[in-house]
Amino acid sequence: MFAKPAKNWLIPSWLLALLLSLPLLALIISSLQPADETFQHLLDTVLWDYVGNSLKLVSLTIVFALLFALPAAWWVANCEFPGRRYFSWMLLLPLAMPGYVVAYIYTDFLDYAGPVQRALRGVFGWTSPQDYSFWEVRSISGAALVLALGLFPYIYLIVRNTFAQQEAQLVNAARLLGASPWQSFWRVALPLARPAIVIGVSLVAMETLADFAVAHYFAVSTLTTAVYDTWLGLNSLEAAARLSVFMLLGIMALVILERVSRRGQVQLAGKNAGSVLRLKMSIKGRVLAWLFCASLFVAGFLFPFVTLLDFAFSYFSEAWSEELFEYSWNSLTLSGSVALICLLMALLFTYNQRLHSSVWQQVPVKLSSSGYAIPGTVLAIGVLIALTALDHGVNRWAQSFSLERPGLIFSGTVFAIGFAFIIRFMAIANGAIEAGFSRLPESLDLSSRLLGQNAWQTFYRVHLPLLKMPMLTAALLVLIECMKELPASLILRPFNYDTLATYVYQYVSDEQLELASLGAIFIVLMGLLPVMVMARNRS
Amino acid sequence: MRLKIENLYCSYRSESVLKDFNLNVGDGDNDGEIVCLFGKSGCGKSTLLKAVAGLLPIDSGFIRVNGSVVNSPKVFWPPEKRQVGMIFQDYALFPHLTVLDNVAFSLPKSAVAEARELLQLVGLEDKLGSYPHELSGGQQQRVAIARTLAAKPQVLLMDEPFSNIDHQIRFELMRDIRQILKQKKISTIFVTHNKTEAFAFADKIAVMADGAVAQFDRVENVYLNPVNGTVGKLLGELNQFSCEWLLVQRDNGAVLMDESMVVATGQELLVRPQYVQVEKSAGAAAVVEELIMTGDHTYVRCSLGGLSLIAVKTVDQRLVEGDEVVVMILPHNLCLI
Repeated sequence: MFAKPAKNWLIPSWLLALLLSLPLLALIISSLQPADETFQHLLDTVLWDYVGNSLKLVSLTIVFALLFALPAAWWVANCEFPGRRYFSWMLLLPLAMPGYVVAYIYTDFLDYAGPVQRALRGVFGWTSPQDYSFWEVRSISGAALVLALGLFPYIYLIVRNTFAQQEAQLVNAARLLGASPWQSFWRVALPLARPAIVIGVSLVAMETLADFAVAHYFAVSTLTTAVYDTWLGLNSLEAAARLSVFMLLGIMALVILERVSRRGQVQLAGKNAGSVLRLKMSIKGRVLAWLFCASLFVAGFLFPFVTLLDFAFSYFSEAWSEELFEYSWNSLTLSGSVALICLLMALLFTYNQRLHSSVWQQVPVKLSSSGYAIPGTVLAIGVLIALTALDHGVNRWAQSFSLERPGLIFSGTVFAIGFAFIIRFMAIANGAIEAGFSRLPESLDLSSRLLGQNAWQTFYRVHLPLLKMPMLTAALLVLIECMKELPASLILRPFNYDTLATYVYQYVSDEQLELASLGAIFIVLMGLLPVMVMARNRS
Repeated sequence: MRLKIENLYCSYRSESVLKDFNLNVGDGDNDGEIVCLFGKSGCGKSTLLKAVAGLLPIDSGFIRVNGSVVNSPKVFWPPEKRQVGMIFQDYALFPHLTVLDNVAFSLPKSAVAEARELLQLVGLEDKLGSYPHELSGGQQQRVAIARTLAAKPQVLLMDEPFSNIDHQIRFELMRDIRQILKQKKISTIFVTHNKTEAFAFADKIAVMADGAVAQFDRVENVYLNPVNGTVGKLLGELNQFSCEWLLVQRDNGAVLMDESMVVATGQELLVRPQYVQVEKSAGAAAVVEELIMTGDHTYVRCSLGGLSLIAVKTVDQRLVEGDEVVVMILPHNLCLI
């Protein structure tokens, strides 16, 4: 923006951005070393099964998510039926449910000892599993269904908005040209929504590929669980790194797909926004739409949430425990510090970006944002490699000066989780602050400079006061995401340290979610905040 | 001299925009001179303002403020050191500060009285505690002026300052601001593509074309004696024809003109429509093709000898398309090029 901008924002920006990309670099370097036995063993035995499972899981999840999201998006955007306005935001709530909690609750509900099969046995007089066959929840299809229930809102949200705003006039035009509602859907609305659908699908695919908890809980071996098991089970960091890079390639393909589709999306955005002629549906249609949306909401949010409440009510005295407070406090202090650091760094990165208009200088903010797509397990392995190397270096250095060796001060402490969180969620802070900056016209900065204030004074006197809300949003969103994060915390947590999420997950794996139900409810309630922000921003 | 721009070259997005640009503002004793930078959009007006303010790097040349070189290939003063003020198209008032705090932005804490005085000067002494969004466009503009004056700039730059102001109050606002700039002796460059604004606000006009100044002179001189047809047409309707053509038409009796007007052959003549009148006369050579009503007056376009001429219709005349008319050129100082 300025002819000769301030240099003192530039150097720290670059240094910090490079620091944040070290783990990724470590991963790649480590995977370029010759393969060790473990990896060769994996390659000879199970690796391709894992890849196959991951692909199956991703495709099934996409199919389910599309089946859930597209009809709901169309009905909510273009048709008039009772409760439409409520469903429009209620269908976003499943995003707040952690997948492993939903997985647990449905397993509890549908497996052999659960109420459904018990009732069936009672009605038909069956006495053993040999008497009948029932769908196995703990399977790839079960995992896909659970994931789709939690992830379909990504597709629903973006497609609904596309249907509702961008093509309003075009659908109206098609109707006036004599196309029936159904024809206008197939010939105009759906083809125009294709970029939006691809964006939603790639987000769902990324989340599914990165999912650790649901797959692990259902004992479906995917690439993600393989990374985890290779490190914690086989103790091979190199093999885990190699698997991680393998997965990163898949993620990168999805990121590119998403970016390309977004470009297609932009061309339509903003034009021709208007109110669509909402279809009056027949009674049958209205009932169908209502039932469909209601079942989605119940299955994705209400039923699991009520079940959690029921657990909490029945097991209150066990769930209201010392542990709950200790781990909540751990989570809160860790996440709070990470949120604060992310906020400060985001301010640095984005202000540096604002000061420098050249493309080259946009690198720090982009680089520091690149962690958002890295699955937690993969990131954890990268952080481990980088920090272990650092620890070794520090210890060797201490030894060479005959000092006491400090031990694993980076990789063996909370620092590791914090570092991983910062890398993972820096993009959220950057995004929120960038959005805030973008609403401030350039002329404000120029005016302040021409009124005699230098870059720092301008930042302090003009930008900081005007960025209060974006700063709050950035910190809050990072805080919440950190508190929900599971896989990286599981891998990186020091001995005897738990966060709220690892604490709840531990009870899920031990088939005792009831005892941690209050913690789970806390996680869900916090998860609702960003969903509300999203619902408000996008609608 | 407040601002002196010499041989300035400047590019924007690797396209050279300013090419050997020269301009002096506040020449001689004339502090408080208002210069309008006038030209089509994309001709480099905004680029020049940005370069002067220090918001865009220059390729070569010199920018001097009050005699000091503030920008050359070797010298760069940051914007906050140049004593250059700027009024933006969107005013850029700080939305989180009150009117008084906006004006006091560049002042030390003890100088609130000065900010109050400036607000009184722009007629907003009763809006001290208001926030920018509570003000009308014209009031925001006044706050922006007061805020800039508080920083005591040597040179003021205004980028399309009146384009967002309602037409009804625009001229009143322009008159007030002009008075303030004159009183405070602030030399100003003001950018616009609206010629009525240029005429009403500026002392001098610098007409820009192809990244350089095509003509720089007092407003009325540029209007009446443009250096070429292109410059002349930017500022209003203009007739352009060769002297030979005129002599032929005069001898035919199609054009009437005073004997005292000397026309030399080999030159082109530029004539504003105000100096051309038509009178209905059956059998005359010129034919009315179009009547163009602009509100203030009505133009008559007629065809004569292969050219299209624009004249001004006198108030009580009744004309319709197809009327045959005699063209009269009123006595004036001819603009020959």
